[in-house]
Amino acid sequence: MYTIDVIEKLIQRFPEVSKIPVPEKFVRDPEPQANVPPQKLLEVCRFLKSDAAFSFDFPTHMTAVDHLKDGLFELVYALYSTQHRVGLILKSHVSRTSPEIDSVSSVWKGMDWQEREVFDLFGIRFNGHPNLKRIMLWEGYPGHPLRKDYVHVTDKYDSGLEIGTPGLDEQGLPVKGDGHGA
Amino acid sequence: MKSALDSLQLLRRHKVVGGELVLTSVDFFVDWARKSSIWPLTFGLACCAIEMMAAYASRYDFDRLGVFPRPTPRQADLLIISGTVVKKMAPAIETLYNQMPEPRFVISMGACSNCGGPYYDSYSVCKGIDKVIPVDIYIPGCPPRPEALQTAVFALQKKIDRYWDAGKRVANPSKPTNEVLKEINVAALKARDA
Amino acid sequence: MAPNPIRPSAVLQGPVFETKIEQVGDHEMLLNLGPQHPSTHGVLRVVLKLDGEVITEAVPDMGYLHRGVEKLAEHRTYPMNIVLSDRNDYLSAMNNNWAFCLAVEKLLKVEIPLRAEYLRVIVGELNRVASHMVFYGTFGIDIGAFTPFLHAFGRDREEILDLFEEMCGARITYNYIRVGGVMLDAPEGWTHRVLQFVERMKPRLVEYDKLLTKNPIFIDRTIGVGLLSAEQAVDLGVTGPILRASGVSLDLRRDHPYGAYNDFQFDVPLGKQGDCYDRFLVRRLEITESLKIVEQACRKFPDGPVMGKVLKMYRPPAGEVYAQVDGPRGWLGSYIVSDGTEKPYRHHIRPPSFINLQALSEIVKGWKMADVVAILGSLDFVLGEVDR
Repeated sequence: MYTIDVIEKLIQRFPEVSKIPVPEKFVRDPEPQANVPPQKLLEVCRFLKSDAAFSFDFPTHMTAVDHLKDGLFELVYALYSTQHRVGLILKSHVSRTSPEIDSVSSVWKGMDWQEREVFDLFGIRFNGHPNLKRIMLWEGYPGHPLRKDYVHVTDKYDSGLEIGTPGLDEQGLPVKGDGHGA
Repeated sequence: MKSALDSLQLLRRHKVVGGELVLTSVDFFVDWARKSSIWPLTFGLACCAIEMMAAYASRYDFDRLGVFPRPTPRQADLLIISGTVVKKMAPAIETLYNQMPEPRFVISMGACSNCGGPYYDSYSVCKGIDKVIPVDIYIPGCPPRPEALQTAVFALQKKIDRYWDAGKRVANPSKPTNEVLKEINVAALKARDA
Repeated sequence: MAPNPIRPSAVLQGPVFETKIEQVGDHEMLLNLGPQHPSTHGVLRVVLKLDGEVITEAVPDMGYLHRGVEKLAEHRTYPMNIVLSDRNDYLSAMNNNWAFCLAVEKLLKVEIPLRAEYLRVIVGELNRVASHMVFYGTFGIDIGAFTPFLHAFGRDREEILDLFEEMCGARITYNYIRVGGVMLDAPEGWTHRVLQFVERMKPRLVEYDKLLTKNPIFIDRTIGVGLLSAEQAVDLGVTGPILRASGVSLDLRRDHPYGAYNDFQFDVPLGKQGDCYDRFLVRRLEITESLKIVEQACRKFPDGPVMGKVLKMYRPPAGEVYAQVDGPRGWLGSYIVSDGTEKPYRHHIRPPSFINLQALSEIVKGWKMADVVAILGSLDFVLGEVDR
């Protein structure tokens, strides 16, 4: 489902796009993946959808990964072409300190809610999104939970054992006390 | 025909001209009527709701117990919390509970609504519905079988048997019935073990 | 122990849920459908702007079942994650397990014995049948017919759950498909009982057609209602029976096969115009096709082990994988980033119901209140997967 030709043709058209090499002892299964700089993302996506040779009209999914050590958020876009029956994975990196990128919801409507979910859980802003609001959690929720440095604010519904509560050790048990935490 | 009820002298049957006369006390009669027609709210949250639906369906028929779902809380006397209670949903559940007229009961079905269940350390899950509303019966399981839900309704029926009694003994009317029932239960256990 | 506030508060202090709806004119009405509603199939809130009875705008609001599974996945080992994955799409838990296990097996590069592959196909397809039976029953209730629910959900689906209970002990959340194969071998005579079940279902499917498919009231309420064109569906990322009902023939089992699907002969039902009736009919025909696959698999059932060579506590090498299965709701995928430890670094679930639900605000415009219920039922989403 994923071929290297698509990426090579894409690189011919957009030289800023590059292949992502597989590091040593790393297993990567949808193997050929392309790295797109964030400034070029919208242009590349528009091209991928409209060009007849590519025609990636189907947005499979989109998500983000938090790399705390490298200080980056990695955005992963998976696309599919219903005509040619091939898939493509695009990646883009934004910095953790000012996470902003263009929204591709104007290209594929299916990315709309997925971008809202990534905004809700990671805090990455999507410029040009028609309705960038929290979707799973409510307005006013403190923090973005899926970040690796998320600190949980205990409220009246909690038991004190939540992931991210300060004062819990690796196992999720309180550092001091008898371990009940409720 | 001698039955347990006769021996408790809650129900006395007399043969009269034309048939039979049954004498009983109001509290027994009202409790019997209440427990035989518990109408829950159609309220299902997650996977436990599917087992609740299976309990209503043809194999584990709930209708034979008099249990029939009502879509509005104003006509329901039971709230079965089946599924994970999420913090976003908890105020809505509180509103639903407030809208139910008394006497009302709550069954917490499944591990998630008992104590958070498999999501005990999640940032968005309410760790047990008893942080929000008082619960009468807890059912363990993930998900509990439909028979377990029906057993819980039987346990609730036993609890309702003492409801009128509990109401009479309430000295302070603003004390929730659950606390009064808890005291009765503790006293009964002490009497049994003594 | 913190004091539990068991006394409900008089003033509601809940989260504020905003949805974007433009100004409401003096002849219009804003109506909240849910989160507690008998026909929203779970806790979904749809804010509707009505002009009389006609819908002018519809905005779904979810998150009422958001349990934070993706965050929890980073703090659970891989086998624990299989347990969590059951509860996402709780109507077809086997497919959830399968998607996760396929992804981890790509990381571990483990070979799965043929008997395990056949067992996976059998339970996956039986689960698809069970899930479509729930759809059949609840869609009937939404339209107003109570009998199909008792036939499909109360009688036939219970027989499937009996088979599953014999196999792995659970009725809904199985935790059966594990990394490297399946948990347990089929008990003695199980395939024989499955074949008997398939035989019993043949006349019952005729009954289903008499009850709903050919029912004139049902046809009136669903034909032409809630049209979703093929271009709209593809642009939205809709998958599964909804996409096939709109006329796009895309099925992972046939086009990009996984598991043992190459060994089986089956058709993929296709709809014409993407209305509620098409979505219903595609699922109804998929029940027949799935039973065909189950029958073929049971007849050619190979011998052998059911578990490949996997350690009890496995630490997959560092890597990044994505694997997807074609579940009853669409393409269910698992994207796993591993850093070499026994817990994943990131687990993202590609949720078919969440992506399919984006179609709601498009389809529902211009229809009446009663049609909204039919459309919601025909989209057949599961809130556990929408919210995770």
